[in-house]
Amino acid sequence: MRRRWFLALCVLTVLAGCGGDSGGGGKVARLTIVVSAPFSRSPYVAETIARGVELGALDSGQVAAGKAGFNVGGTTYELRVLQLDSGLSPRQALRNVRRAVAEKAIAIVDEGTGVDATWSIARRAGIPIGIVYQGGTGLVDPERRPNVFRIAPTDHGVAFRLAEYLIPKGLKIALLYDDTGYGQQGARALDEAFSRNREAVATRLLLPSGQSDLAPQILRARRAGATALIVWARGPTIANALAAARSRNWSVPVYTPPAGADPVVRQQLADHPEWVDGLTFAGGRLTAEVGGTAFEVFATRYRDAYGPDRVGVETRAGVAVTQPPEYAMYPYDFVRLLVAAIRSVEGPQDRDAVLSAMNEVTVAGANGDERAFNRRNHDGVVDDDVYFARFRDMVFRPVKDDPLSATLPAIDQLQ
Amino acid sequence: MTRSVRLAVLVVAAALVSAAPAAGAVPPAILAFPSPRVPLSVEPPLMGSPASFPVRFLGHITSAQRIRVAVDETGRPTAVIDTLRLTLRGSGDYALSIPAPVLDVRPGSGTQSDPGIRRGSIVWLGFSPGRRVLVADAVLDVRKAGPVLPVRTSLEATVDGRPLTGRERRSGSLDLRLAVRNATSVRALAFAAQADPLALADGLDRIRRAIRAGRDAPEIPISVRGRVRARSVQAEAALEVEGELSFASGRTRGLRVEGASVVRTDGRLRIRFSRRLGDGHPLALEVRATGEALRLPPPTLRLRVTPTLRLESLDPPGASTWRGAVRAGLVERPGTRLIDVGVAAFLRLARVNQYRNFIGNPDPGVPIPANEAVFEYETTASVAPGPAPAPEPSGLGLLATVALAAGAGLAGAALLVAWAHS
Repeated sequence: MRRRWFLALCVLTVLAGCGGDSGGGGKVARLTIVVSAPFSRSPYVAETIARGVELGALDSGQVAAGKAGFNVGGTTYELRVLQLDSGLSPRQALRNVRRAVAEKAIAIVDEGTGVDATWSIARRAGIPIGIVYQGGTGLVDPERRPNVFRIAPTDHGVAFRLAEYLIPKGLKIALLYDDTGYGQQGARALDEAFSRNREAVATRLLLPSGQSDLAPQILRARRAGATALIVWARGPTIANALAAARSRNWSVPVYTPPAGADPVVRQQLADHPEWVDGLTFAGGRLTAEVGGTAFEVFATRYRDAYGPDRVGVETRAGVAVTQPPEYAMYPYDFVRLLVAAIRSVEGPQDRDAVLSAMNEVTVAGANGDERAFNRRNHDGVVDDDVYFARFRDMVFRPVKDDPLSATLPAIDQLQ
Repeated sequence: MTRSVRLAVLVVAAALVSAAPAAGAVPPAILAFPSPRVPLSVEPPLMGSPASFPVRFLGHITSAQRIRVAVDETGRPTAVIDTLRLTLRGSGDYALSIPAPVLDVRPGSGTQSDPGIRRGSIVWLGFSPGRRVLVADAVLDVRKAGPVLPVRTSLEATVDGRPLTGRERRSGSLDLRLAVRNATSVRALAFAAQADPLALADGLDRIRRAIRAGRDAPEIPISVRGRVRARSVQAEAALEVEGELSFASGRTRGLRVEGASVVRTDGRLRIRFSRRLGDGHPLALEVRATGEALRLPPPTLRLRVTPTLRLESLDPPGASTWRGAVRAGLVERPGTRLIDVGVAAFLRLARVNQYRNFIGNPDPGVPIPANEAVFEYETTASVAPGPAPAPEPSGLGLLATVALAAGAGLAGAALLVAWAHS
């Protein structure tokens, strides 16, 4: 009899550990996924991430109509998403992770800010962190940070692909980066990528992110003999750099990391749409080799749930431009991998087992490709999958002068 | 019946089906030699976990492997590292999940994409712009890979009857014995029959030319007469073995060596040998050295073992072609003998193909000669308790480090990490 009481107590303890409660029929437990993202400072990025998490949870299973969850090992797990604003502040990100620990969260989906400080706290609580925006090289390290995963193009991959793409063109490139963590990490990746071809680099300049007039820096780049710019910065700074160059009739080609596709760039330059023409950004491919169907299905699902993400600009023909849900795709895939891992170990109780299983499961990603981590690599977007797209008339298309990009279909952005 | 024989039964049974009426000794039947693509044993290729995801690549993949084997002073394997180099030709996505008993994997020199590891498999995902080279240094579980290696070595060095081990250097009466045995031999089912000698001779000549040109051996239809008998034969991979036993210091007096030759380079005594094991040659080689040791340390064994498709047993006796040999009467009972030659050759090719796919090429469709493998054995220093020595940056350093780690009861993979970061 005492043994039976003890077992019952254990079950209750486990359920409590999952933040759940015991229902009448089967056991029911609630699992919380925390989204830590800059809702106040980069609302587009943060909202898209949160929506991707919600959709990923719903598409991992539903315990009732519109209620995300799944059943494993005789227990029904309801998935709940808790949004916490990081404000691009590492300190706030730290508070968010402490909150996630207090909530006994099953995972944290993170834009990337502050992960250097937060991962160890999450690690002690057995919580995986899925970074879905920032690509900094040091953020992910399977040996030292076994609980940190990422589905987003890495800075290393973006920088090396930019070098691979631009160096053969014989351009003299000015490497411009802003003073945010995103820009600093990008600068490091660019330095490494161009280290063997220093003759291709005309100059290297810091762009103050709070400064709207970047004319002095752009002029310095021009005087240094630059024939191309790589601007590794957040969206507003990219727009400011473009404005500084184009307003002085300098038609230098401009290349950026994925932030170049941030709607804020086009919004800021809406009065001069021609300034956006030719802007080329590197990003994670949105479609698979077999075609764009899988991503279109995902984009439709996203649109049906939240409506189109309107960029707030129009083409010259007056058609409203929408943004493909790229930054929803990554958290969507992460949540589905998380649930696949939980299912594979028959439940979330053993947090180490879940972390371990994250290295072993594979799901079909929203773009149709396999999405997976492994023990050696916690980056779910491989460097080879970085492609280039160029803006024309406020919408972007894959370029034709890069082997991977040339194989990719254009994504409809006028719906 | 062993699993290997069971596999072979399937191979030969397929060949015999069309010949079944011939048992009645009436109509001629068409047979084919056993396919060199059908394995005669369960391993190699090494087994691991089932693929994590379907292998996907629309182009072709060739494989080159360098398998480094650390052996202890008795010749027992203590660590195995396979440097797997895949060359992808063709444009498109690749998703490779390659089964292997892998403990750890690191990007190999020259790789254009980093490998990943899952339980029992090496994984790669990415895009090939037309050509992609993927290289991994895979640390294999010696308990699983060791028994599948192509040769077994046994080494015994004594001075005055006492084993020479560790870091000691001794003087006295030296007795050194090395045995290297081809361990690829399995029993396989074959067939015996009689056919038109000149047609067979032409077929063998075509096979030989194709192999020498680096192409797949063509399928040769054999029109047999009379009874077809199933029979069990030994089949082994043809192995080119080159090796040496060397002493880091010390001298000898009155050294007598059997089965090898003695050279001295850089003041070091080296005993060298080179032999083909199998393919009509003995399956084992022995080296013995006796004499007087003067402050001699234990020897270091280095072996290079290459499974070769260029079979000497496919060379015609006394002529440049089989047709010429048959016409000159150099082949006794050629109607049956040439079938035996062909069957033995194809079974050997099957074994060689297996060992050239020690870790299986994820593209099974490439020509057999497009895959290569070489096995390099080397004795590592004896394992002393205490901290492992600082790893060396060379490939040998890696092997020695992993071997030492294994011997010291540490995780080889963990030390590999230290080496890779040094």
